[in-house]
Amino acid sequence: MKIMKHTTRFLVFFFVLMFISTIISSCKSDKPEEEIKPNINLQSEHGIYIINEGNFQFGNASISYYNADDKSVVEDIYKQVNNQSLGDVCESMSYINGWYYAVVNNSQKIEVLNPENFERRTSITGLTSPRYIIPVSRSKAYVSDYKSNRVSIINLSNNSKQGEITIHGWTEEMHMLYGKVFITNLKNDKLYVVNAANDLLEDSLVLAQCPGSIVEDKNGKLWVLCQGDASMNKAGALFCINPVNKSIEKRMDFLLNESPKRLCINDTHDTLYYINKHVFQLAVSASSLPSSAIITGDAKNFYGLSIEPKTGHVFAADAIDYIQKGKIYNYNSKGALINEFKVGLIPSKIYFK
Amino acid sequence: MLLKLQLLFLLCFCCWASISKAQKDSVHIIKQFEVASEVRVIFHNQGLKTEKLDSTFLANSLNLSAAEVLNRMSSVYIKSYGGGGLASSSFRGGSANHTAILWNGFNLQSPVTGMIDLSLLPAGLFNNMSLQYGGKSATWGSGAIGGALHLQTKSNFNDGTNVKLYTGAGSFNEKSMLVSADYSNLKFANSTKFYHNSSLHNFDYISFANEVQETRKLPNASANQNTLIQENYFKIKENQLLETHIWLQENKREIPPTLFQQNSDAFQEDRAMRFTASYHRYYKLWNLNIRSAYFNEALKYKDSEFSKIAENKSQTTINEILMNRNIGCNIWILGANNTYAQSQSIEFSKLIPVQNKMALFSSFQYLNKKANLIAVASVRKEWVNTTPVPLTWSLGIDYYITRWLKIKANAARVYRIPTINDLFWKEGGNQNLLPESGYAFEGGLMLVIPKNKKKYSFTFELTAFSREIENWIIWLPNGAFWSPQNLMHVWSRGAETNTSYQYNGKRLKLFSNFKTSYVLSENTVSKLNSDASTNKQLIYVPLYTGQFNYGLTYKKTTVMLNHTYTGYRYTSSDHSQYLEPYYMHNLSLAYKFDYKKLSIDIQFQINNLLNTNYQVLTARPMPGINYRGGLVFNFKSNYGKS
Repeated sequence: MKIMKHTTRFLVFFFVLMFISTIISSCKSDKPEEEIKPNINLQSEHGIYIINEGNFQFGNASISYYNADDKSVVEDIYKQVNNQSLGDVCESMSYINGWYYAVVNNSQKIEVLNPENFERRTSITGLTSPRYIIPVSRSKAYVSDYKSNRVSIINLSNNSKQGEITIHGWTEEMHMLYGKVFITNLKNDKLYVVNAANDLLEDSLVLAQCPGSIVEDKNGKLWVLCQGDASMNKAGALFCINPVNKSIEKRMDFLLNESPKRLCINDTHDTLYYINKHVFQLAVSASSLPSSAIITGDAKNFYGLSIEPKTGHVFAADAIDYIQKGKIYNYNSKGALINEFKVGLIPSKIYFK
Repeated sequence: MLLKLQLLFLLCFCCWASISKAQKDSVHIIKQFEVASEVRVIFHNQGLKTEKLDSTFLANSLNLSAAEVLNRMSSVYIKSYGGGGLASSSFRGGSANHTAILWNGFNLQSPVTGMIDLSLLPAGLFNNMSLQYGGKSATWGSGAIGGALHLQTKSNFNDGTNVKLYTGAGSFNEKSMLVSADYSNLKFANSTKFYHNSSLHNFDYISFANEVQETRKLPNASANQNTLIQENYFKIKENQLLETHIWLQENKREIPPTLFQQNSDAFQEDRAMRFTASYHRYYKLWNLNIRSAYFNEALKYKDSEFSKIAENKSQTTINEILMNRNIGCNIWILGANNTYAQSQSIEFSKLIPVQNKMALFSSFQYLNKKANLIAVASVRKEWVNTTPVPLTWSLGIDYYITRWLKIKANAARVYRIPTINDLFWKEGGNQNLLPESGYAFEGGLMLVIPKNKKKYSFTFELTAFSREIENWIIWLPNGAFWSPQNLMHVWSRGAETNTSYQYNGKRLKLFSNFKTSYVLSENTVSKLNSDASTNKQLIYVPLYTGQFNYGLTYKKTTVMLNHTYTGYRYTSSDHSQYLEPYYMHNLSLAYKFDYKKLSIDIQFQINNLLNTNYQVLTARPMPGINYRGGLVFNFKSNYGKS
């Protein structure tokens, strides 16, 4: 009966322990606070969608909805409607033929969403690392890609991949003009030109290192912002390009340690904005880069930028430390802060209804 | 157990010191020193919490990695990517860079990353695994902030031939094999061990990558590991010993997709060659140890078929001289260490970055006359590429109030120098980084009740700690690149309990061990504007963890159960995202019998007994219930034993 004795002792010891550990564990709760979720109402005319990239490989990409009428934010509308995470690293969203196309980079897919309620209609799969989608005809779209060395061709009538165009490097933003698709590339210094009618790579222009964003101004000229690459000792630059004869009309150089990004343009297509740590503004008639910023980025981590078409307001996204909820700052066109609100992790793109 | 061991050693030392004539029994003495081949592992632990991992458990864990063993047996939190993926340790809310991993006293932390992948350390190759919690920078130098893991290999002289063969198989096409052959006579001891493990890790998991959630087999997850350790010990004279150790390792693994990725074709290859040699000379009152090591490591990583191979190589040379002298019952250690590391990668801004560390260190262990108080004071002065690092020190005390109750306290200055990645990474490396530095304090009590002629024993240990580190390095976006900055000031504090009960009957043995840990680890300064992470628990540091191991051996059969609890872990610094807590349960069975000179051990394990769906790192799939079985053949011949 020795065993019994020891077993009893053992049990006594065990319960004493449980008691001690209960006392210890009651000192601080580790359960996170649940957030109160507002009702989803996407009917406001002043709605803003914010694409939050989320952390690489965390699967926490999301779309936040900001209602400018009552200044409310709905987090992760996709998950609330579809009961599933949007995926891993949502890079961009485009409005094509009455549907939203959300490109989820590291989930290797594009979600086609109903703009009324964000319900998923279908997914486009078979992609490697999609970045941006642009419609090139009623039934065809191109998808840029950062590591497959290919631009994918999507059939918009059945939302499936129908072909590829080989372009080496990291293809990024695209813009279509006069039947040609101008494709930026973050791996080298080239702007590629693809004929949308036959999907053939026709031409390429040598710019500065890492062309990443592209817009069209009121004069029908293209503006391309090259980020530069300090590790290769190559500085970035802003280019104004004539899309017809493909000549460089203006070139404005940045310093080596600068990394300009997110070139955007207002609704009247006469004023450009970009992030270079701070937010800068310049008229399309300018011939040199602005010397001072309109919005300071000190102690902030500006990661996304967009101009509200109706008001010309500047919306800048602050990703803070990349591992907490980011913030959107809303400034007027002069750079005065109007309001700010929190969104999801790593906000990068802002779309207006 | 450890306490007893310590006292025993101390006694041995005292006797040996005062009765130098006992040299006759030098065989015995050298045997003692083999165990203590690195004197700082056994001694100079006063005031700190130490843990020796249970040998019964280790004997049944021949196919586990150090990561899995620590996860089940210790209060150290293991961040594992699952399957054969990377695993790193967090002692008391510290980072992976805050753990010193020491192989027979040589630091294995990579000069490039400041850490080592614990999934690449096969537990079956080491005779001992022990943990020192708390700040030990004054003893082990840079990086020993949270704690140290000691991996020890050893051999005994005059033990004849000992051959062990383990062969195992498990779920997901896992195959493992351990061959170990030891031979020793009076003058020479030799040990060769080879370990192989391969697995497809193609377990079922629920993927969110497609439109509909689906259960599928994890693709691109296989791992293949081969490790060889070869060791020789020569007794040159009765008071001189030479050891050489070789560790060759090759590991290839595929990196599986996350829950949200459709597929992955990433792979990683790790290679290591480690050579060490150590010469000991034992004098009447003092011992000399001269040691050298050369580590050559290479890592290759390829993200996809479209990307280039990322590669880095590093070579580390360590030279150390260590003297310990007995003054009465006190021990004085004096030593110097040079660690020269260089690394090559096209990702570095410098062709061959070099980290040349020079250190002088000394410590003194004091035992009072009543033999109920042991104190140790240590100091270390280090220069990195001739730039001095602040003087580090530690002071620890063990005081036995009675024979069965000990109180302990320790204070230490700790630091960590930036890694080669931090300093020289081409895109963002910051050469103006300062070392992380701070103070660590801990105190506690330990209760040991052996009764009934040691038939059963009960121990209870309670430790509270507090540690503040300033200039904590964090990679943050800075203009064009991410760049490491000395921005965080982290205050970690908490309490740990460790309770054991053992009963050693003739036929029946009972054992149980229960550990709890409560760790608060917060950054106290704001990194940027509107930073919502200030004064919040760091990401991936659980507030609560617990391990409960118990089992019994009845005659030839051993049954062991392991339960662990891991509390909430935040995955965003503002706590808006987190992982749910989970319990994990593992069962292990063994049946041991002898057949002539052969001892045979049949082992069987069921892991994740309740098929729990859990995540250690966010979006990384983990295996459900899985099985492993193995056979151990142990052949021992006392041929040559006098």
